[in-house]
Amino acid sequence: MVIDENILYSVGAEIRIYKPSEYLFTEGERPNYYYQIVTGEVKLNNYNEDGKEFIQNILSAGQSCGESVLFIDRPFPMNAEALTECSVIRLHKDAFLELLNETPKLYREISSFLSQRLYYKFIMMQNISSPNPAIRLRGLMDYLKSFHHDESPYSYTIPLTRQQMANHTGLCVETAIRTIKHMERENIVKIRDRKILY
Amino acid sequence: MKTISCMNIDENKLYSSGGEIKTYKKGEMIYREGQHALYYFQIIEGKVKLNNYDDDGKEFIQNIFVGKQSFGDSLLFVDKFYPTNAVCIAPSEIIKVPKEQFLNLMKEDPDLSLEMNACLSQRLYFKAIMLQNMASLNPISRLTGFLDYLKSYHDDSCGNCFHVELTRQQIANLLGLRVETVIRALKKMEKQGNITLENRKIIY
Repeated sequence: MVIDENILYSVGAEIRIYKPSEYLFTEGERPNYYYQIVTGEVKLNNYNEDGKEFIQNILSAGQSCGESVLFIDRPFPMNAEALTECSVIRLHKDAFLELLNETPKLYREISSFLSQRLYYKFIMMQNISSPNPAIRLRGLMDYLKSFHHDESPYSYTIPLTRQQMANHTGLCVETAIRTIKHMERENIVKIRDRKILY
Repeated sequence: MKTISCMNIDENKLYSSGGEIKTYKKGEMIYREGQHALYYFQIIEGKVKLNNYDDDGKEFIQNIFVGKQSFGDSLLFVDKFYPTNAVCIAPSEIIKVPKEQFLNLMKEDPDLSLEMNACLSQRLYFKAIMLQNMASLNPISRLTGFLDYLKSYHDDSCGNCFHVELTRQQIANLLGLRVETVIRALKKMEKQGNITLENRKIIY
């Protein structure tokens, strides 16, 4: 979802800079704003009782975050943490809903956008239901690669660290590393300068 | 905090947008994974599951829907194939509306669009919570997270009076666990006083 920045400013949006590891919002908080990333990367995550991190998604420039809970009476189900220095436009919930009210065609865009996210969750749910780490990781890589135009093998460089891949799939980093090495031996991936080509 | 049941669009509106009723038998498939989304589906009566099978033929249930709920609608807004099958698990009466007419209905009725966004948001919320539960390798965490979510559909928050209307096999397939593991975990939760079991029914 990306709304024209000028439109956002004209209805009262402000830009904010976040330092790496600063939170845009935290789990359990009531949503007050629509957020749209101008530069930088933000991760959406949870921590379980043992403090183990689970990454729901990593978002970058031109993507919004936290908008889905503006439509339902719920607190945020996750944290949003800046991964790099980020500039983010933020618009108050009331102004955002008012803007939608006046611009009905934005509804359709939001529906598409929410549906995209839902599609991602469908795929990730299916992968993560498997106890097999290779299936969990391959599901994640397939999904990431689906946005890449070249479908030939090894044409896509996975943009995540091994730790991030582990946290996306509920695995320990050691398991992720071992499984990726195994995938290299089976020619599913190639590794060049520690980067994973899929 | 109550979870909304959606979409439940006035049936007359659906009929005037080209909607028609179709009856399905138990076990009948409404659509298949990999097909294009051509219709909006809303259940009048019955029960539908969205599922996938892995390479070994093991079933994973993504969600179960009942009367006054729609399913598969998110695929009308994106250019992707269905990521799941939709299968009736009880005899069902379903209204189906052709995609284009459904999208026109949305366009002409901003209130419905807003409702649609709320509904999609709610589904996303469910998936975000389920994903986090599923990432856990501990079956009791998976189960507790899931039961909490189901209970949020329940009107009043009485202590321990929520009856879970799913079989143990369905729960296993929803959580990616084996049925034996679910049975064992439920017994353990009963001993810890987190659930009660009455005539094999789970009360949470």
